[in-house]
Amino acid sequence: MEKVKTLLKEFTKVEGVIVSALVSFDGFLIDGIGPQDVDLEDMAVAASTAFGLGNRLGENIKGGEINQIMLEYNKRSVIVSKLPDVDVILFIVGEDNSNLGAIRYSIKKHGIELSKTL
Amino acid sequence: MSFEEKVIERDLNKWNVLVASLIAGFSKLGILSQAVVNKDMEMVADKLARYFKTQHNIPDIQENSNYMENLTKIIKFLDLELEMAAEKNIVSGEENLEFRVTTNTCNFCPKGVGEAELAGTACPYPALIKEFANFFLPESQKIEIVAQNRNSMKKEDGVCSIIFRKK
Repeated sequence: MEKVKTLLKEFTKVEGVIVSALVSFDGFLIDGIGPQDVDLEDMAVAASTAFGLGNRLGENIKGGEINQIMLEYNKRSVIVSKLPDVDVILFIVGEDNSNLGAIRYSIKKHGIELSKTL
Repeated sequence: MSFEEKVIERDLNKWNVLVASLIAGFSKLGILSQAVVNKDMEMVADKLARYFKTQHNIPDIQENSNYMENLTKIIKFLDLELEMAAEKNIVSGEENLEFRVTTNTCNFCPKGVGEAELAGTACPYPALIKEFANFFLPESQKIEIVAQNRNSMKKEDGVCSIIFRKK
């Protein structure tokens, strides 16, 4: 799990990113990095639920399998992304100054390696 | 096996069908997972515990008994009141207590009874038992669920296993 932690830290190097976590499709937190006042386990449940709902919407619109969800709030943004070849979701939270493009690039860059460590 | 056959084989009552199907219904919306059920059942357990307390019908736990004896009584109480499953047993280990249910005899399984289409599990019992027990157990005996393969339960060879330990 040390390798997982190291890779999760790569995401928090992107400006504004405050949380990076891995969540199973069942909604359980596998590992994560975030501020002390953030309940990562609660976030894991919400992230898996959002992903499930997104998946359901994908079925409705005949959109195929879901890969990624982006949610933009007034103060923060969230990217929930499926990792390749595993039933695991990567969950990233950024402050309002975070660059979503940079986060998505970071997911592309480290996602496969992260999958292989699981 | 058809739903009708399950009703007969498991001797299901209307409440079994109502609860299991209610939980299972969320799978169609894509929001059913073990973690979601756990969060939900924590709230259900609290209400259920307060309901039984209001009814002056609570598990007979003793401050001077150890947590395994008390937890066993609580699980037996819940099973008596809710009729959780026809075949189940409680196995005490050195530090853990395991609740084992023969899967196809479970009365509230969202998959088996509710017929939820779900890859993983959605068992209401881990969080229900944990929170219900913690409502009644003394402070020094509060329990937690022991994760099995990152899940709060394990389903293997027709048996569902939930393990608890003292916090």
